[in-house]
Amino acid sequence: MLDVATGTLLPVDLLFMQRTPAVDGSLNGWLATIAELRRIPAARVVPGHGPPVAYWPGALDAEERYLRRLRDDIRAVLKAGGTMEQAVDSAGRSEQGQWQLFDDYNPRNVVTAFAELEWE
Amino acid sequence: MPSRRRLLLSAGLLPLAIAAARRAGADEADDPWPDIKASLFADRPIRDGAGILGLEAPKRAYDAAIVPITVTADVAQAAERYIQAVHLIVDKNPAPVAGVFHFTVDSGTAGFATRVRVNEYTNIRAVAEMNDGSLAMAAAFVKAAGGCSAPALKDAEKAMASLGRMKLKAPDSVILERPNQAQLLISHPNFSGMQFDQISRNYIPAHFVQEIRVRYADRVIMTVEGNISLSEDPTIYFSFVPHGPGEIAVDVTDSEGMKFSQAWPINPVPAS
Repeated sequence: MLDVATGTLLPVDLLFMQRTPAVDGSLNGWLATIAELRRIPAARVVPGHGPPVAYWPGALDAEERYLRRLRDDIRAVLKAGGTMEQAVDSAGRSEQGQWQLFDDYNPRNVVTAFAELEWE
Repeated sequence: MPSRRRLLLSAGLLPLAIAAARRAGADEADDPWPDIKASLFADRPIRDGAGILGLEAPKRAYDAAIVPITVTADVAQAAERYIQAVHLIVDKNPAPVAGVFHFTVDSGTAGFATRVRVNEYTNIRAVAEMNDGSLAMAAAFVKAAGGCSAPALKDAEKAMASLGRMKLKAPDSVILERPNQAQLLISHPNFSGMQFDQISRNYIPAHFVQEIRVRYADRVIMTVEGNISLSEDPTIYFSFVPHGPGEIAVDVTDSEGMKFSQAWPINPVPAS
């Protein structure tokens, strides 16, 4: 949602800052959507989770980095023939410390994304 | 919302429905296991699974709609003594029997893994039925809630477009005359009947994988009677013992009578 008068973008649950992003659909789909969002010429953004207002599109960087790390790590586990449980123990771990509620959301994100990526 | 009773009926589990109805009005905190046990196994004794089978499940599930379950088998599938079926039961789910997994001597092991939905804090049980008809059980308590009504990860249109697509992941080198593990993935929303469609404001009717038959070189490896408690896009890790080259052939039938089949050639090599 974009407020044209002020150039303020409100991407609700597509933009998490500080708090661990929650994957509750397609991880690949979210990453593709981030690429589309970047093309929106907004002046500022009100993230769905995080500070009241942030710079655009730099506000997307941390979320995109985390989601890419998650995807790369899960793909590495899948390539090695690993299981969902093994992926939970390793994927995304290097992002721990960068995000709030990491231990509550990262394992769940791994499970959801693993079930998607194992079809690739 | 479909009642517990209707789901049991739709799943063809009339005795369970009667048992559930009989205790209607009873305290919900009641342990459902005695009724389930009586419905499925009457008064047959069930011994502890130690030395026969084990069950591994996360103490607290990360995603209640995708709870990984591993059943380990401690007996080989020898002609004189083998596990002919494993009943996977999620006590407090509306349809407690997640699946009945039938195995043969050609399975090599009755150990398998799958993923289930968990509706509320519950015991999960694996009851092995030996070829002599005796029963043994392993169980674990899992903390998870909301798995049966959780919205599908894929939108319905996408799920229907890929309905029945399958994938088999087998090891790069399959070894002759020993159990080899493979993973079968079936693209199917496995709608539970408890999932709400936010757009149509209706519950999505139950539509789930009902039977999975796996053969290798025309010999039956595993047959699964599935239900709504198996996760979206059901997946099963199973084993098979090849005696020569052949195909893994999978036939799936769902609750709407739709049939899906696929086969994958395997070229096993001798153990080095």
